[in-house]
Amino acid sequence: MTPIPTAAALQMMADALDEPVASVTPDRRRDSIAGWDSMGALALMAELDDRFGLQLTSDDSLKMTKVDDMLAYLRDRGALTD
Amino acid sequence: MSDFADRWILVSGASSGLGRAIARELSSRGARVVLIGRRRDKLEETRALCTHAEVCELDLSQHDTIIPAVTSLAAKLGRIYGLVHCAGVSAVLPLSASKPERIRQMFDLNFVAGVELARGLTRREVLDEAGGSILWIGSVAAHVGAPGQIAYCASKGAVTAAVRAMALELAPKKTRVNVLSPGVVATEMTDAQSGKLSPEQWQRIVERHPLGVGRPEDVARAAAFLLDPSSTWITGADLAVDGGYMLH
Repeated sequence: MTPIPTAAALQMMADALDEPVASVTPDRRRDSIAGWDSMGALALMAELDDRFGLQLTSDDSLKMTKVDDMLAYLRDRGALTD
Repeated sequence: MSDFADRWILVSGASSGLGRAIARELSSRGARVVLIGRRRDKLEETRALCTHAEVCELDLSQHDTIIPAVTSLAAKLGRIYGLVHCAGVSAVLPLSASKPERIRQMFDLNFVAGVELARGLTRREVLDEAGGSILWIGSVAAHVGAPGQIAYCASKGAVTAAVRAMALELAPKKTRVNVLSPGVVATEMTDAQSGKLSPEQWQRIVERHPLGVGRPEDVARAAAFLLDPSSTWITGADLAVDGGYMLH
């Protein structure tokens, strides 16, 4: 696994969810991001698997209610450098 | 009544799931099976379930190695009668995540590796002189769409379409080519995939199978029927083994 900076993780989320990166902030709520639906969640799963070899499960994904939950998930698994 | 009579059949993806079940079924009907896969330890587990089996450790993503491996198997074992291409990969990828490299990986294993195995089998020095039988494992995904399955549906659609052309091309060589289209079968691969879906999404898929989700043995028996030398007049067929999934 090659850890990435938080800014790159936010860019990854923006790309996967088709959202402007400037609006993907840690406190942004999931239900306010149109692209973070069931398909968006699957796109994030694919990114995490490709980049870090992380298998994000449906259960863990459903528990995420804001962008910061994803950052915390990545930080806990050593995927962030900062 | 089976008529395999010690004929050799290549089984790709024999480490687990459908490949293992098909190898076991063919062996129980008198065939000799070559177990092809990446993990020797898992192939040895399959071999322990078969009567006459040879292990062939092979990474099918390395296409250049496939034909040399098949020809060397024939040099060692004698002519080969059949092939079943079970190796495959499935991933839930929405359109936004369907990047070229991910699509390529799926096509490389699900389709191109099978073509290479067929090219190896049908070489003059490999194929049984009386003819042969090739079976592809397709999917209901070749016929029915599902969100997040663009690349997988396309790769299995490629298989199903190629079977018709291959069946026509190989008929003069007395080689039959068929495809099975399974619905969802409980295997390690589908277990991994179901973990990425919500319980409600998974339940919807299960409920679309009037006879319930399948077992590897359900597919294995159909595979043995199509591969059997006594199924002499069946080629280019696409047999649904799906518990009624496609009846909707």
